[in-house]
Amino acid sequence: MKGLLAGVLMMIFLAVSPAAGADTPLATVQMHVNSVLDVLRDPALKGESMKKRRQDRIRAVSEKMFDFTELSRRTLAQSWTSFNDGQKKEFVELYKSVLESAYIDKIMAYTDEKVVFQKESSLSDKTSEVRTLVMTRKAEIPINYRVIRTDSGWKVYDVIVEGVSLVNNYRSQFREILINKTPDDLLDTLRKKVGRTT
Amino acid sequence: MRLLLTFAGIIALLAVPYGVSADTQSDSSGQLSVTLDGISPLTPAADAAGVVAFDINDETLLFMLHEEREQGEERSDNGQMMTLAMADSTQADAAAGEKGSSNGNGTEYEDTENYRIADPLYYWNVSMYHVNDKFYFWLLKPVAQGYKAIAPEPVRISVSNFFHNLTTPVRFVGNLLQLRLLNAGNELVRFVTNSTQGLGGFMDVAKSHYGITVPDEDIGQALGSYGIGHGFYLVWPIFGPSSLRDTVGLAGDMLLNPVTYVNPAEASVGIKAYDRVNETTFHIGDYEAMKDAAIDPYVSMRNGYLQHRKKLVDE
Repeated sequence: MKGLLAGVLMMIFLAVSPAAGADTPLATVQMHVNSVLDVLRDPALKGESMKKRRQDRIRAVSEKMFDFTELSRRTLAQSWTSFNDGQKKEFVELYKSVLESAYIDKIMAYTDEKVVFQKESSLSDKTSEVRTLVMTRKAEIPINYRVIRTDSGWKVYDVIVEGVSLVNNYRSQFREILINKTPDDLLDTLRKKVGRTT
Repeated sequence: MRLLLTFAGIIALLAVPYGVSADTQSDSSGQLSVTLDGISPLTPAADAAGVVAFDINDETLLFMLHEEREQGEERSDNGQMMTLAMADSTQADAAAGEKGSSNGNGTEYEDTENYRIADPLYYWNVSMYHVNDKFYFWLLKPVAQGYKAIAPEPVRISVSNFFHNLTTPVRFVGNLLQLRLLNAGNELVRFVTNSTQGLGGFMDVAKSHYGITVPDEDIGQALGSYGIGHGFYLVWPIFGPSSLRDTVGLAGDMLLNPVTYVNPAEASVGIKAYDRVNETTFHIGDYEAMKDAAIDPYVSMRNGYLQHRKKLVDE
């Protein structure tokens, strides 16, 4: 009886552990990066005519991969509190559009580079950093992802390429704007940037 | 070359008495005092970033943001005035962030590191930023694209290896100055291996066959490792973003680069230009992406430079 119980427990443990394993920061980032690479390498999506579809697929991955609200909050840092709820919501949307339109083309330029997932290290009780290396034929480019534990798993809130944090870089730009201008002015700047005039 | 060194020396001499060592960590210095000169007190961070006065040699130099000067708000203190953009993250910012999280908004700012630099030569720097932008789009990029079209990638990688091997003295001394003897030794081993088995440095056999890799050091990084701050931000035409410290480093790098001593000087410049074009072929699109992604490309580049250099110094 005890043996049976132990056996059942063992089976449950074995069944559960791979799922639990896939829930680590590293495994999560790896899964998302690989799904982007799959899109880039998919022969059915090759060519100029499929460009729009590739963009859509990558955008879909980014929606799952990133926590844009967290990313926005960290970018604005203490200025976040001077935005009201409506402004916060619009900021997150506009900022997301800026990032996606700027980086999707850049990502699509990658094809045959290999990505090595090195290690994860804990930053705080709910954040971690996943280190990766993008191997080009000439050099290795370190890209680190910072992730935060949310109700729907680990989400990326910052990407650090060769030591340059995306969040920190935008923070420096937004701060310069917000010194003399209001959140509404900043939103207007972003609207123009993404080509919305409303 | 000698001119550049002299110039760097003059800047260093000018800067030292004023103690403008606005290092990323050095703002706990006692002489920093915050004044609320004409700025409506919004948050402590905005005040700190807005106007900062240093008491030096009985004179109060007023440092203020360039935006204010752009608006024509002339203000002075004891007749001495100097504009200095205190940029990027400040201690006050981090403090405000911590305060925010203790207020229960639940956000930690462990990524709020200090990347700020004085920008007293803002107008020069912005001008040079635009000069370099044109230099890239009108000259460097088209030339690099043309060259890329005729030179296959393995050739360009070999050329890159060759120049990398040639500048071993820079990295060797950079390591020695930081007492990184193992890395310095590895630089030597790599140089000997690649110069011989690597056919004069065109092949990086040290890496491909022996697995020897050494992080690239330079003189600016060595100075940074001594705790010397950037001083202030400085954009050079052609060379791009730099700082007072890294300009001194750059001068040292040049002195340690054998190509500098090629005669005549035109040949030396030509070889360096070729190296630059060759390197650029691997980075076409990077600058464009940065510019495209940025809300304010000048600020983005300044911050990116600081963050990247900090990483290299920390390594």
